[in-house]
Amino acid sequence: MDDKQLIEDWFLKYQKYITTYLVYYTGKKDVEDLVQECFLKAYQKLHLFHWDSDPKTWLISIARNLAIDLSRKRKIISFLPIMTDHPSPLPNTEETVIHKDEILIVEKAIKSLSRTYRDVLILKGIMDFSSKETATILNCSENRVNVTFHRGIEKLKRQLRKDGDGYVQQK
Amino acid sequence: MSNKNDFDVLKTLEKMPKHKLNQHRERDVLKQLNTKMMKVERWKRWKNTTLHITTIVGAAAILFFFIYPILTEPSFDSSLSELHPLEHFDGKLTPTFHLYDEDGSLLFEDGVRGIEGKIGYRDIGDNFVAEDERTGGKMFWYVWGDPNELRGEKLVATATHVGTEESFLLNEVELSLGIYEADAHALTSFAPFPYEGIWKIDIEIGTLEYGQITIYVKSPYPQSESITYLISEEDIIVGETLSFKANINKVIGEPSLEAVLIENNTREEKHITFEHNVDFVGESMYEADVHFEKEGEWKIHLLGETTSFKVSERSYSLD
Repeated sequence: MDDKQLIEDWFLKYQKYITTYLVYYTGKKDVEDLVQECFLKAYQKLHLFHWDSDPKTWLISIARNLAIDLSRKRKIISFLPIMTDHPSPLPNTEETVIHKDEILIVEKAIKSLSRTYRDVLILKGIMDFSSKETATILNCSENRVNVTFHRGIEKLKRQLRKDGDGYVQQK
Repeated sequence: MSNKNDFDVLKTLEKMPKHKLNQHRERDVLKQLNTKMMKVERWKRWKNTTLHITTIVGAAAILFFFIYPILTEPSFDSSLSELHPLEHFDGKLTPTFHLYDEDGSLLFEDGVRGIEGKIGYRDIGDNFVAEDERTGGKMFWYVWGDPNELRGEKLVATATHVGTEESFLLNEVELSLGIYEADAHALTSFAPFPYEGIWKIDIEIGTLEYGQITIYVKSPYPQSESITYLISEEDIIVGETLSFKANINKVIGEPSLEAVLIENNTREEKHITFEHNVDFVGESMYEADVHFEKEGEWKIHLLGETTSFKVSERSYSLD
């Protein structure tokens, strides 16, 4: 299998993880351009990949850096919308039992947290990654992930209390 | 939701929807990814070939410069080579123009470089830097014309260096729907310019020659094996506080790094501290402010690697 075939294979296996991560991290549904860029970057930097590690965590750290890079660029040029070559439909959302309003409130609350908490809550909380996998992606210790996760949950609760009152009353 | 405990919040997070590209988009993105990977491959091959040719040509040129003065009187005007390329360029660089939204409101002030009402690319104010992929990494073309004819047409941009007349394929992309006030657009990446100077970009759309954009490309970033200093050598000038960003091809994990700058002739030394800025995948960025009082050839030693660069007076302002 050559490098190109390998990246195609990874794309088919892991695009759902990258898409989920980017949707929550950027707070936008239109992320396919970033997903594509993530795999292209992986192709260009394949020589840096440690073959004993998990491609999924490596790809997510690439996606994370691209998203950080993009947000930095946006700060410079105020706003550069991500355009695709075709009108872009939203990514598929898997069936879920959670109420739509609740999803919006949680998304908003996560987006309002700092990057450190947002990362850990998305990876460990939503995507169900282990502390070890999360630590690999974020390039920090497992202990730090656990502490940040715990604090992140506290902050999220506080934020949900603030944002969610209206929702609770409606319910 | 306001009374949720930790367990409830964890359960809510677990239940949050997971996203993926649908089959149709997955196929499209994979196709585009494939095309881009092939371009990267072609570019790598071209770069390797060029490197070999450059080595041979370089060796021949060195030989020529040693023999030529012995054989004949020098007729070469050495003062010309000291000039900035823009100082002996007869033509004009293509200016920028504003981009408006469909409703006529101003979107990007001086944000597009090209021919107003015809074609241009999004210009965020940074010059292209030779050999660097970053500066042409995410480009938008905006095209004006008959939307029905433009949509789906292939845009081919060829860059030609003013002086050597060397040319290469800068970009090839299919045009999509109109955006803002433009009748068609494309999001793409430009191939890196191989070296600095003035470049003319000829754009063809379908079978039509659509326009020419003349730009200036800055000299490359100084670099060693694993460190690139993100400042074009021509911006390393006397009398200004310069921000040196060291992009290192490995994760360092230190809050700061010590570096030494040495001037080649006087052996004057400066000790500077690079502060950690950000980490990328397998890369770290550190930043330091540096100030030079006079011109000269300098070396910077950082993490056991040495990089040479030149400090000069500002010879030409691009503003």
